[in-house]
Amino acid sequence: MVEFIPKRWFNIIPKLPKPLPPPRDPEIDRSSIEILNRILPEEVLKHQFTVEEYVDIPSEVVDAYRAFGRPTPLLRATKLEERLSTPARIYFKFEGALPTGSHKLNAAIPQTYYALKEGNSEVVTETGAGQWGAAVALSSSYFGLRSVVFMVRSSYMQKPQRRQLMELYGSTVNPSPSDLTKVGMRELKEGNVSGSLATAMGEAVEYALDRGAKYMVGSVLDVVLMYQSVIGQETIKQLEVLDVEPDVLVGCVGGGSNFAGFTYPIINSFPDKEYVAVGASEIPKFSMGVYRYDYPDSARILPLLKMITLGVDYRPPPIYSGGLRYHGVAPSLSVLITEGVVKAAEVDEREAIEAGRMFARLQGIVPALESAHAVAYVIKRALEAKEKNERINIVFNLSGHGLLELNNYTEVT
Amino acid sequence: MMLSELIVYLTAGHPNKEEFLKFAREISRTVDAMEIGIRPRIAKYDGPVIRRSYLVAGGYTRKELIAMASGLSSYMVALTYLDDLIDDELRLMKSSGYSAVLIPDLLIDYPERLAETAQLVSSSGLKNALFVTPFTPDSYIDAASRLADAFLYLGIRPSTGIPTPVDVGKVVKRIRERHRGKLVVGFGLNESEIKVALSSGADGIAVGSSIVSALEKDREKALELVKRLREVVDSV
Repeated sequence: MVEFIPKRWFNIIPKLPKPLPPPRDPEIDRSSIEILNRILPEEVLKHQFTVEEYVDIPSEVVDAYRAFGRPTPLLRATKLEERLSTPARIYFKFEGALPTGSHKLNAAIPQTYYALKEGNSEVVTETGAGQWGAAVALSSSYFGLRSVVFMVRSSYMQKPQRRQLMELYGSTVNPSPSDLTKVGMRELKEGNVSGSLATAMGEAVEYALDRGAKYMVGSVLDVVLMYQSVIGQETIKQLEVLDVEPDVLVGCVGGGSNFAGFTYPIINSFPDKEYVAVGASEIPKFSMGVYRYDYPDSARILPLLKMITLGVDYRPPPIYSGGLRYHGVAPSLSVLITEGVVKAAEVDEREAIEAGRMFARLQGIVPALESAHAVAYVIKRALEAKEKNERINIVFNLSGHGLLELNNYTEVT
Repeated sequence: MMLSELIVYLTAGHPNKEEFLKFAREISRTVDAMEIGIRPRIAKYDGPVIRRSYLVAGGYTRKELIAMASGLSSYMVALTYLDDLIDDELRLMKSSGYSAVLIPDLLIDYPERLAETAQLVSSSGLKNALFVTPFTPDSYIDAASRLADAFLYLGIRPSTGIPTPVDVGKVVKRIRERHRGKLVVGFGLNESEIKVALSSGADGIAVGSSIVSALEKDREKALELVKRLREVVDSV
């Protein structure tokens, strides 16, 4: 095992092939950038707006990364290669090895750390399926902070294990809409009891503004992508030790944080390789999306970002991969896709489920359904390599395990 | 040692034509240059104060606004978005006594038009002040640095006047390392940040929304502010 934990985060913005359009305020008399000032830890905002290629990671954050199992393993899927009889070699970075089961912890640790360091005692966030909420719950308990999570009520009811995990870590989990906020009460009054991520986010932001708690951001913002860059930096070192140069790099995309964290450092070291961002066909943002300014959140709280988007009012169909049900693509990743550095692909849920099952049976790890989209693409690409007799190295990010959502695999036959 | 420069931004015609002209004449000896904002159709990268000032300055055509500033300062920079700029406006700027043009959206929305636009500005007899932000990639900072014959303008904050926390020293140093010519830094700087920017390598400071905001209420207060800024800039 390689004992390597990065000491710096990597920010791709200075190295982008085209300038990144800055966040924009939507209205004349209201500034959503000003709201960020009031709810995010100052250091997190400073990282968002002070663009540097490398930012030192505080030693307390490195210690937490180590305590939770970084570096995560880079494994080779030999049995999958055998089954596909492909000349390609398939490697994967396994972020599911982290205690909460996904990469989300990488961005929760620094945000909770800075909240604590700036003298706060409570943090708040929203969560859909619960991956982000669990990451915030654990990193809060690690640093001794109180955490409050607004969980979309339908998930709260359907995914009791995720909720129980957050509660085990000491978090107060409220089903959203709740009667704790004006946003929640308005929804309840209108009979929208099952909730949505937008409502949960609106509740978390209102809670932060009213109670002085710090708000934790799960994806899309550049700073979150930067905090995830430990994934790709570790991967580079681990591939070096194996003496492997990657040819094709694959990850799934919801907002873009796991894909960016995995690929950006590699793009910087190996600019001319094949990078593939995999989305869900059911949410066709890569094939139908438009590159323009749009709200990153349907609560319309964050500033406008220029990104590939299906429109903030787009209602994603109810697929099981909750993490991919997002209308946009992180701004820097949108630039890389429009400039052709990163190729986009879409995989449907049936293909993802079949690929996830195959992977579980051969390699043992049950991929989160989101990550199974990447697996499905990798399988296609490995079969293409077989046809062309390409002896290539495919590396993908297995961003999370699916052990707490096994019904995703069992309910669809 | 050369003293650092103070550049003051004013929105043309704000708060009204008379006050604008009076104020501009009053400060013309205190400042090294003036940036004159010509009202755009969409104020896409301006903060609340400047956006409001455009509304207040309504009632004039863009050409009237450009000409309004004629002869106000020995070094005037017209500020306009590329979206709004039409060719004969550049000629009008030249004949109204402007020295340079600053187009903030050029490297954000139209990076592929950088060389062509810089050429168009030059051929109108004006110099190029090119706008970069902390988000501008290294390769475009280098390209802008080669074409900026007036100065490179680093807008520290993506939205004017919103005091987002930024490590000004780090941002200025990054650009300074790549650009040898004149570097002007602006967008929402407070006094201590002005000092940091200058000691990190900036040649000049541009101030806008705080003055526009003061001018909206009280011209005397705005005048005092300009004098105070002059002292701060000269103290570094």
